[in-house]
Amino acid sequence: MNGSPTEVVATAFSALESEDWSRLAELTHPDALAEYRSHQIAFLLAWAEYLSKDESVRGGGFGSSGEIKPELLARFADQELDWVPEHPAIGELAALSPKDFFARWMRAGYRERPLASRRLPVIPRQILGVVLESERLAHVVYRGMEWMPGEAIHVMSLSRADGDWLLMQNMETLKSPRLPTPGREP
Amino acid sequence: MTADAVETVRIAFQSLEREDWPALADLISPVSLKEIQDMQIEMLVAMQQIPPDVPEPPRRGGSLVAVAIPSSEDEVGYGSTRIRLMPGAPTVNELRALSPADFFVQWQQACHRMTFVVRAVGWIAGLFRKERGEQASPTVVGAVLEGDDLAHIVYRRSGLMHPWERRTLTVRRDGDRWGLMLSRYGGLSDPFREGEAWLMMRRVAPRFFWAALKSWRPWRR
Repeated sequence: MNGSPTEVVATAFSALESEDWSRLAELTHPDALAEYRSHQIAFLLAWAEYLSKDESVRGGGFGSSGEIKPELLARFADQELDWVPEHPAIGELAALSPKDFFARWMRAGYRERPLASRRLPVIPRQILGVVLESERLAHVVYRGMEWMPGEAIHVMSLSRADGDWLLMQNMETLKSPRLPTPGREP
Repeated sequence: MTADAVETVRIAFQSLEREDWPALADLISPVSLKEIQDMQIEMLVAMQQIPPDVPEPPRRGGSLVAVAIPSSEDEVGYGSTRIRLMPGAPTVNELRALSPADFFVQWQQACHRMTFVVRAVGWIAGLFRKERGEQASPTVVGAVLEGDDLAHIVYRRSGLMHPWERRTLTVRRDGDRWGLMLSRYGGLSDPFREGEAWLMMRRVAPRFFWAALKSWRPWRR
C-alpha cells in the first residue's frame, strides 16, 4: 500500500515541485502513462507528417486521434527533435517504456515553461479533501492555478491498481514541449 | 450543512435540464451573477465587432474570427451599440441597467436559442451525433467542505474524455443560503456555461458558410 489518496497526491505534488519526474511516473497509473505516451507520440507523428507536406497543400493545422499509426512511425522514426534536450528522434521516444517516456517528456515540457519564469504569481497547490466514489476510484479536490490568471478548484482522480492508489493525471499537471510550426518557434 | 450545499447543486442541474433560467439564477451567488454580467457584456460587445465581411480562407493557419475583447473603459464607448445576439437587440447601456439575475436569464435565453444555421453547422460538425445515454444529466458523487461557508461538489457528467473524470462546482454560503460560484471565464468544467459556445457559433456560423462557399467556387474549377 502506497498510502491514502490524499497522501499519494501530496507526494505527487512534492515530486512535481522538485521536478522528480521518475517519482511522479511511479505514482501514475499504468493506463494514464500508456495514454500519455500514445497521445504524445501520435501527435508528434501528425506534426512530422504535416511538416513533410508541400506548403501549398498542407492546410492550416494538424491533429491526431491519439493512436500511433505504424506506417507514420516507420516513416518518421529518424526525425530528430532538435529543440528538445538531448535531441531525441521520434523513434527513440516511441521505443521508451510508458514510464520512461512520461518522465522524459514531462521534464522537457516543464523545462520549457518553468513555473518560476512565468510573470504570473505561482499559487501552490493546496489539497482540500477527497471523495471516495468506490473502492477503486477516488477524487482528490485541490486548489491550484486557473488557466487564466487566478486560482481554481481542480480534481485529481486516482484508481487502485494492485492495492495502490495511483494518479490518473489531469490537464492541470500534464505538460509537453511545444512543437515548432512554420512561422512559430517553440 | 453538506446536504444543503449538495441539494443546491442538484436543483441547479434540474433547472438546467428544464432550461428554467429564473430558477437557476436564483441558485447562483450574487457575486457570481455580477461577475458574469460584467464579463459577458464585454464578450457580447466583442462578438458584435466581428466584421461582416469575410476574408479569404487562410492557407497557412490562423483564424476566421479575430476579435479584441474591449476593456471596461473602451466598452463605455459602446453604450448605444445594439447587441443583436440578445433577445430584443438591447443596447449595451440597457444590458448594464438590468439586474444581474435578469441579465443572466436573458443571456441564457440567447445562448440556448438555436437558429437553423447553428443547427446545420452543429449537425455537420457531428455535435448532435451522440451515443444514447451520453446526454445524461450531471450527477453529484460527493462533496468536500472548505471551512463553514464553502463546499466543492464533485460530479459526474457526460461528454468527457475518460469515464473516470469528474468535475467540481463550488457553492458558497451567504447567510442561510448556498449559491453557486460559477467561473467568470466559463470552460468545460461548468455545464451552466456551455451555451456560450452556441452563442459564438451563432455569430460566426454564417461566416463559415460564406467562407466555405467562397473557397469552393465551382466556376474556377
